Amino acid sequence: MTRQVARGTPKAQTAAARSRILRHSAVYMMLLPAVVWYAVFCYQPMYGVLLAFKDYKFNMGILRSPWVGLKYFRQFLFATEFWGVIKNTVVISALKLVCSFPAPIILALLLNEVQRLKFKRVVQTVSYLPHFVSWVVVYTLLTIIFTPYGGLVNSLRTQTFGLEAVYYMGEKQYFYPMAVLSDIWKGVGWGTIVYLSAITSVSPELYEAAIVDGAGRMRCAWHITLPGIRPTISILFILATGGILNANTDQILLMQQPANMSISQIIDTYVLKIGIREGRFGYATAIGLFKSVFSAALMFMANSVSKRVGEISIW
Amino acid sequence: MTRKILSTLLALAMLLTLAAPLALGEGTELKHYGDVQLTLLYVWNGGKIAPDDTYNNDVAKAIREKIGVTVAIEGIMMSETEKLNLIFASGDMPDILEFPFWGGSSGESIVIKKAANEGMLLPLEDVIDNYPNLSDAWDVGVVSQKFLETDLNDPLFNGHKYVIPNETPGSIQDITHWAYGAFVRSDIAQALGTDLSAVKTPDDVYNFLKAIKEGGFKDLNGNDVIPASSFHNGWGVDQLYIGFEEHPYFSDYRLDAEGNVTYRFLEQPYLDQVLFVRKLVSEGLLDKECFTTTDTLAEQKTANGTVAVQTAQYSVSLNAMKKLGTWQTNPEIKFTPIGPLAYGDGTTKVQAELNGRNGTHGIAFPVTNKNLEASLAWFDFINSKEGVILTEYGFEGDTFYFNEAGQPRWTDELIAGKVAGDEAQTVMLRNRGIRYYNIPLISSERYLWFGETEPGNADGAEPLIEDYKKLSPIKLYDGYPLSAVFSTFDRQDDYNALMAGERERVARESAYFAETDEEAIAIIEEYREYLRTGENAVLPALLQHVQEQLPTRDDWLF
Repeated sequence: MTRQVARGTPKAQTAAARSRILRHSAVYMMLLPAVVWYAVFCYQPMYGVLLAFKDYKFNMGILRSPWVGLKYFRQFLFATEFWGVIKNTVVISALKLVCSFPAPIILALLLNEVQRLKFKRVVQTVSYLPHFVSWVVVYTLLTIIFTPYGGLVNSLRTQTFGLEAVYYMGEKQYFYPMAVLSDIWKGVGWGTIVYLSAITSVSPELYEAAIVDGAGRMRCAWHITLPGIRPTISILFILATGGILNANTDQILLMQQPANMSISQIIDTYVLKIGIREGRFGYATAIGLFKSVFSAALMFMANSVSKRVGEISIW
Repeated sequence: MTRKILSTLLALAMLLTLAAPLALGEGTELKHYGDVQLTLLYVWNGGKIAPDDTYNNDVAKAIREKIGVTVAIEGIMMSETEKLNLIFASGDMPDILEFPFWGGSSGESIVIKKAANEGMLLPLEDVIDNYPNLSDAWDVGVVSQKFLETDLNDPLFNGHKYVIPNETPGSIQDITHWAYGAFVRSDIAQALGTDLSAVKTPDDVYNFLKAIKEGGFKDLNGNDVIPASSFHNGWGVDQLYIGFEEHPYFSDYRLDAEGNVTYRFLEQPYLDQVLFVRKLVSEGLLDKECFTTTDTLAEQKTANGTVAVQTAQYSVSLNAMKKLGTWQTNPEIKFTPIGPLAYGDGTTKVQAELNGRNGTHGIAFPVTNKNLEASLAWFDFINSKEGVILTEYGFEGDTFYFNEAGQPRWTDELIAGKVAGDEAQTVMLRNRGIRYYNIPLISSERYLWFGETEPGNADGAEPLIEDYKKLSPIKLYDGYPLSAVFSTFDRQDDYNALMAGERERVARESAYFAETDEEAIAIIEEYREYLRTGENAVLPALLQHVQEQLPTRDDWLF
């Protein structure tokens, strides 16, 4: 009752909200395309998850096709490839989380220390560029650079050092390094944007005080910058944990080779090959739903841990 | 009396003379449909390049003038099975579909049959007889008895016909000889002094490739040569190991010494073949990139002589040289055939064909087709003699002339362009619509009609390829492929799920790159275990079913 008095009656609240919206109507109008986009492309298709429980018939569509219960979930759980694709997905994602996640933080800290503004901008721009290159192009470049038949790297190995040529893109032991390094190269620059903007919100007075106390650059970065952007890091980490079963389909699909299939078949490429390509839409949807539920659970867990340990959380 | 008989015979002869063009679809009054515009999706991965103007090119205009129908053909650049699934699931269907229809448990056939059974395709049995150039598409001889019974007239179709088989030869001479094999750079063969005709077995192939590697040969840019390679995704590598098959097979079933039906992937020759390729890969005799390469990269490697032994169709290697100019600049590297290699039983490799196609291209009409009658009329016209001449040869006095035998022949200029592999000429012809509408030929009798299976073949065929065709000819087989038994198996869905996703290819190619033979064997054994037990042991049940069907016929072809 007290709360209601403090915040007004529901009628008054609605009126206040309406007036607030009217007052900021231009801002809300700018939000509208995003809302429509989410409604059309994210929420409207959600009824498609019904496919996971249906024996899909072309002429009946999703709603009228007959129900099959949990058949496809059972099929996936008992599939020969189940543990393999789960393990591969988690390993690749975990490697990327360990190696690719800190990379933009480190680069942002380094860029923050650059004094010459012109140089900093050039570095930033150059580091953003790979983000705009599609994985198909990246893969083609990698193939040309690393081919054992006259590629740049192997020419160096054979002609300069007299070593044997190595099939970097095809041999199993090079799959993880190539996947992680190319992922870092492509995403590190773009990833710094959020951290650089977070760094700008750290109060300059803190640095001044630290310098007066005799702190060097390293100490400033360690004791001021990093703690200053910790909330941003934590939130992005929580979101990244939710995506642990997303190992980047485009990249992995392109990098799959006969020799590395045993470690490169991830959930999404499995869904593509065994589900969608073969027209087993119900099976593909069931795996997708399984993945989403598992990812959501992981994100909840990460959020909860972060809340308890660092008092930072998404909600 | 004699006069009566003679006059009767004369009358009959006149009648037959009048009826003959009718049988060929000539001389019949063609119905004009006004201006019907249709779309045809050519569902073959690799695309189909269209003319700049699909409506107003010369051939389209000529066809429209004749029957009032225009068809725009579009290609795809993705898996055929995936595309067909997406088309039917989304309901976004073209007027006409042209697709691989290999029958049995092949992915595309499963989708087409599912679509037909779920009411997505139009039945044709009541209308097809109105089109004389299409109605013989289901004749045994054009297609095989087995293909007809188990796929085109699948028992689940309940007597309906949904798929018109096309790209089907109407005579033995009209069967396309693809000239598959293994081909080596002439200069390398000469330098090694190897008698190429003596290279027959996998061991011979291995020794030959090893000699190439040890020879230290270079490509046109001074880089080391790769002893052997293939075109896209390993296309053609199998030509190096045909010796592991006893003879040509028409199914994946095998019969063991005790008379039991077994499965190809469970047998020793399959494992031997995998280990053979692993040996080639591990010793640097086979291009490590060939299993994931593209045709563009493979063409460069071929034309630059980076590959010493190239596989797949002979014409593809030679055309790569023509396309990239080394045919003229470096004639010394022109590829020449090895062998031909031999099967396990010692007989020379042939292009094995069933008497009548056992699987081919298919044409079907989705229920959203704008005008089935006009669609069929279009196919009927382009399958008539007149239609074939127009779509293949173009325009009399401009792109072709009739020779003394009354056969159409391209002009000398076009023949010269074809021989030289002139890409600009191909583009020019395509933009006029010539050879753009030529795909869906049904019961083709181009050889019988014109003395050549495609324009320019009689006068401009590549002698190297023609010579090779004689060494490794087409061989016709009679009989009923054992794969037909699948159509009466009651767990087809389980089997299709078992084979989904190219698991065999993944296992096989992973084994090629294994560190050791033991590791390769373990990979294959793991796949075999999956075959034996996967999807509630459906494969053993299928083999049991096949075994039970064996006594029902005596003309099975394995």
